[in-house]
Amino acid sequence: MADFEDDSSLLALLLDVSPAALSCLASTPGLGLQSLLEQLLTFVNTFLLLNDANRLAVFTAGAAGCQLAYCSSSCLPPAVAGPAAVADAAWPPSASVLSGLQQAVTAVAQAATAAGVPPAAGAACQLSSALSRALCFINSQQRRTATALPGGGPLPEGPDAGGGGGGAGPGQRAQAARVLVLAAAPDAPSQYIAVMNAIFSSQRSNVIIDACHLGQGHSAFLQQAAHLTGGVYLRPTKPQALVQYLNSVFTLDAGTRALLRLPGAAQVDFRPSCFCHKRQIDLGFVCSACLSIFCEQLPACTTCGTEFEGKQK
Amino acid sequence: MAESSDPTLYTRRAKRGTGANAVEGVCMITRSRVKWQPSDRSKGEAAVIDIGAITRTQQAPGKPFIKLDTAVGALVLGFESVADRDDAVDLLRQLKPPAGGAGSAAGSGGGSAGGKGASPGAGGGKGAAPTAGGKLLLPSDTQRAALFKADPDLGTLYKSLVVAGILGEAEFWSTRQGLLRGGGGGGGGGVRKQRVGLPSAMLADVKPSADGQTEKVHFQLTPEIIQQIFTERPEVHRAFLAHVPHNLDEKAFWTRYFKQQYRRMARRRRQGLPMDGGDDEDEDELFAPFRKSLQEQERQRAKAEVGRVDPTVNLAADAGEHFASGGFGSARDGTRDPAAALRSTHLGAIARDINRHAAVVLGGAPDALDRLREGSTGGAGGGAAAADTARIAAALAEQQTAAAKAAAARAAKGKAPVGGAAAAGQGEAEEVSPERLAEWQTRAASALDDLRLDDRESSYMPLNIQDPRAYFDAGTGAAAAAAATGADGKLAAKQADGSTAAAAAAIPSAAGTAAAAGAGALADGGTSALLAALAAVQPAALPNPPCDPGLAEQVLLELCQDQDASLVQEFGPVAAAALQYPPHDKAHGLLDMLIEHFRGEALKANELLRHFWGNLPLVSAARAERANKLACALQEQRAILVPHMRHPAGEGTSHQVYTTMMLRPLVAAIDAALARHQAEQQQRRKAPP
Repeated sequence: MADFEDDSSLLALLLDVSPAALSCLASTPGLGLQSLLEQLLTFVNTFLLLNDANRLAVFTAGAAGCQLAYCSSSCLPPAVAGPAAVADAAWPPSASVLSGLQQAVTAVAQAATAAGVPPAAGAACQLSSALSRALCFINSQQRRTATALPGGGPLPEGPDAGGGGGGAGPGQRAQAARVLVLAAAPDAPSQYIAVMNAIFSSQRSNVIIDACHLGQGHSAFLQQAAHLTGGVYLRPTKPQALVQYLNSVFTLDAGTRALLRLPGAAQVDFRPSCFCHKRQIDLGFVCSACLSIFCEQLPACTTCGTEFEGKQK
Repeated sequence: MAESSDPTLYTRRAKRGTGANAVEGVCMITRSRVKWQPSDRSKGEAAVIDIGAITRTQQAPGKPFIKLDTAVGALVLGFESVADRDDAVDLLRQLKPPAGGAGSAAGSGGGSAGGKGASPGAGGGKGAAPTAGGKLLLPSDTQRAALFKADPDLGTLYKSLVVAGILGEAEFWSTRQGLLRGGGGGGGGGVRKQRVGLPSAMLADVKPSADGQTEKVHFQLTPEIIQQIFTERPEVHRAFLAHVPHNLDEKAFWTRYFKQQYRRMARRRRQGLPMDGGDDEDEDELFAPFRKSLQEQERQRAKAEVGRVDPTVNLAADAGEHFASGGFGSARDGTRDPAAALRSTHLGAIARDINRHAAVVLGGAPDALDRLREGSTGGAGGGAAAADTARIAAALAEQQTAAAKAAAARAAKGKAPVGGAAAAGQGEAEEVSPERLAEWQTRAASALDDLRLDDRESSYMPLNIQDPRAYFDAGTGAAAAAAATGADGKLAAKQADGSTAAAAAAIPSAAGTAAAAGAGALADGGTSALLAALAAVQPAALPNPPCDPGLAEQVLLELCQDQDASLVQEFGPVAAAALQYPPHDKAHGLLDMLIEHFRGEALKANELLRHFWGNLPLVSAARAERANKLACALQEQRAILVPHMRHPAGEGTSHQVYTTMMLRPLVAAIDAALARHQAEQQQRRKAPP
């Protein structure tokens, strides 16, 4: 029992609901928003059914920021876990996920209306803040698990203790965590640094970032995120059968993946954005002190102030 | 950009001028220039001299000064030590444009034979013909042969690029100056002498050896140990100078010394016993007076030093020497132990010894001993010993007086800018001038003062990100939203009765204000469409099947076959599948010879690319011409590589796939360079200079 390898996982699902993504998704032939959501909820159900201890959090990533739309009852603090677990037991979980999504989207829309901000049609999603938010969530979950289980002893309860279909209790050891980004908006080069920072922190904390890109073209951010964290980047050629992609590739936990051949990106686009104009560049100048990237030669680094000697031309 | 920079090869503290007017500063030597910058801009002007313009180099033997004559005038620099000066001279000699083709090797060879103390200025006079390529070091024939022998790839590269006429000799070596300068050549290059370190055994080697039959113990002395004893125990040094050989002969002197040492050792071993006389003061009368005078001197010096030393740092160091006072481990409870006070003085003495020893070891073997050793190689027999000791003592004394003089000069100069100067030295030491106080404060604030820039103005450059609003607005928006959700999460926790969904996603209108601050812009058709879709989904009755089964099957096949459409198109399905999972052994199934060939070609291409990018941007005609030449060479290189990527044995064999995988990045790099070259050329044509 002590050596039992836990193959459950904590999945943070980031759903891109930015205007750019929505318009892109709505225009995909054979895949309306409704179909997309249905397939996504099917995936959610599948994931939660695969393992009793699987936990899920759903975030909406919009142009205005990121909202937590749903999380498993076992992700809540212990004080509310008890009564909530009963509510969570209502099957299928897709119902709660859906209502959570509804509320999150409504709230953002209301806020925007209340603020009287004109809607920006082509705004991309705040991938950086969404990723950071998901990472914070995962971190807090892992910390809570660690404190709830001093000394990392054996699991205090079997799968039967959780009752009919309820999530396992808080007494779990640190669960493998990953983030799945379901995006359709094109990259916003201005977010390059923030996104890369989020990717690096997730790499450090052993959180895999999976990415499923439904938009046109490839997303360099997501490619790099998956590449650097050891996740899978996938751009479905047939987005109409999204659920098949999701179920075949993204339900798998990290341990199982090691045994499988998963589709991977043959080539990763490693091009960075320059720090000065936020353009994507493939050839640039790098500060010798702080490694900031610039698209043109500058007399001094704008990030760290190092003066570049030598010929200026 | 890499070409244009001129890296600093040498940086040492150096004063400009001699005597009391010298200004403290830093001397830097780059490949082409000697620069001197004053520490304090107000006291002197920076000087820059082209190495090619130096007509004569003069050094004073035994003193750390160098004089660089140019047509305009002379620059006199005083380094902190002769070794620093010698390093600078060596470097200058290397960087100096050679007078003739073979002159450089001969010159450096002669220099190394001359040794450290010799004046190598002889070669300086003839290097009066600075040429454009003169800054470059070119290897001599022997050096080149040695380099090629050490690195066969370099030889091949040289043959295929320089001998073939694609790159010039100077161009080729310009990127490998480090190899030449590092003395890796071995063929007559001036190999820099390594300074000899000291053992850190703390005179533990000088253990008495007893023969077991008589009561006598024997000590073994070597010149190194003698020298170490002299430096670590100045009182012994002084006693030696004063008494040997007039009053005592050397043997008697050492006997007395070791008797005292032996007693001390024994006492320390019995340290716990309080009745054992207890303190270090009862010394041999031979050393005691010198010890006393030294202590007195030390006290005075310390007093003078107090004015100059940063108190924040020094207090800590001082506390370190008295570490025994508080005690540690089992001795921590000092109050209850009557012997504690006594022991603490002992421990303090030991700590002092250790510190003194550490200082000597870190200082390294002084040059004086070095020279002595060179002088008396082989003659280390018993007969020479007495003379040796005397010579060591004399040399050390000489060195110490020189150091003292230098220190005094430094102190005098340090005082001069402080102002008063009329006040007596001690009076001045009493008070701390406001400037000095300010300096201490900044130093204490910055903690690591060697990281501080000399130039105050440039040391505080604000972190400047262009258009910070674009950067941080998004962040604040997200933060506000997060805060709102977090607060709601707590609220929900208190309610604790609703469904999970409600708890997790409760974003009541109260949160609206916070989210509004984030200035979100999402209330258009997209959102309403999304809301409509959300409303239309029936979670309890999701469609079954969720998607078209036919499509799902295709997807499954696609995922399992795991093929990249572009790869399939390029290589055919079988090879593409193989290519998707490159084996860990990337060269799987290729002939060794072929791989070796590819390696050579890759090295060649990389070298060409390096030079090519070095010539960009094409700001001058010379650069453009060079870039053109390199671009042609790159094209040829590409022409060599590309046929390998075609299908020698039909479509999609593993051979072709692996070869392609191996060569593709290289060809892509060449293509990128060529594309860039074309773009640059077009730009140049559009806007002629």
